[in-house]
Amino acid sequence: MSIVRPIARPIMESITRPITTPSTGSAWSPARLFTTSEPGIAYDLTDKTKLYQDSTRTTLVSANGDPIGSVTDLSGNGKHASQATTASKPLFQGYADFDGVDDSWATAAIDFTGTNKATVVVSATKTADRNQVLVELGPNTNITAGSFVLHFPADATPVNLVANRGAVALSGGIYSLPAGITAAVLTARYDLSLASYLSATARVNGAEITETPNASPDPGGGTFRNDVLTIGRRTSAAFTGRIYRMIVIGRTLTAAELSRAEAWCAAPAGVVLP
Amino acid sequence: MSYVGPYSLVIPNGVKANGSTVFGVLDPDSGGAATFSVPLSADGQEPATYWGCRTLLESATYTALTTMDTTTFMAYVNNLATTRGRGQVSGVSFKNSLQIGGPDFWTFIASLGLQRVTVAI
Repeated sequence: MSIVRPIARPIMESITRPITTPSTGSAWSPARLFTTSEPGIAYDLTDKTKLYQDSTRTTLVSANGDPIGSVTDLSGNGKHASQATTASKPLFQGYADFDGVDDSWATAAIDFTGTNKATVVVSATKTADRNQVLVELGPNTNITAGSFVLHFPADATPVNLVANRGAVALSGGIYSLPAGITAAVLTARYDLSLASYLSATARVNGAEITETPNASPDPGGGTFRNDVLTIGRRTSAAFTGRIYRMIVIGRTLTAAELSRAEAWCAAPAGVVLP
Repeated sequence: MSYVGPYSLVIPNGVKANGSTVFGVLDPDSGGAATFSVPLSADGQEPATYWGCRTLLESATYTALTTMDTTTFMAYVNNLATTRGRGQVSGVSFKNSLQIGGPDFWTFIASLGLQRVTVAI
């Protein structure tokens, strides 16, 4: 007796599955990166159950157009981002919408003094073409020791995409982003023990990008500082655009960890990674 | 909470202190005194001659800002201050100089002959 089976079986489950861990099958969370009390944060600006309209975290964001006064830290460190001035609150639109005028958040001080390494991963879309701050440790990396900054640079005259300042000097990596890029997963890696511009390197959309050799001095060692993280603004350099997810952690990630972190950030931003 | 806007707001530097005090009451959150945070001037250079912001407003506050005379407005602010457990204000002089525009902040300040005072990053 012959047995006839169809050659092609229908697809029984969604092709798109959430990012899962191989061993448990549960959805990947950035909290998995913070296993030994590393300083830092992880924010999901697309999940309104983690966002509050007020800085006292009383009223959840419920609809598009609501102001975001506090963002829950998913790392386990409890370093929620907040903004107590309504005029300076980004608006929820399925992501955090920064108006480029006066919007920003800040955390309480985060102690990075135990490390000279850090990694930042952010998914963002810029809607204005100018140099603008995405995230910064400390008030101004240009002049404050132990700081780091990630910019979303302008197309024509970019500043350092990434920069850090050690005990001695500011060092940064100058990059030419792919032409016309507006939506991106930007990754910054900082290491104050390394020389010159190599102390601050970057990836865009999951791929290494070529750093332009420059005359940055050595940052001069030391550790990063105990200070606030500011998201979206330094004085006049306010970010105009959307931020979807972000991770800031006080260590270097392994290749596998970086891949997962970038994938987690890319997922809601419509960015396709290699 | 019911908001309208965003609106662009601009006041002269000379009334910034008063505007900050009043918005310390008007803002439903605790940081209203820092509302006017964007320095402006005609040539984009320091010193700032005006200060601006782009903000949501509670609908009652928008009505108060756009329709009330200063006496009625001051009573509105101080009633709100009582409700919110904040200090009473002694004047609302900034309101006479307040300019309110739509959500496009940059077009609005340009229409006033102003630009942001910029600092190189």
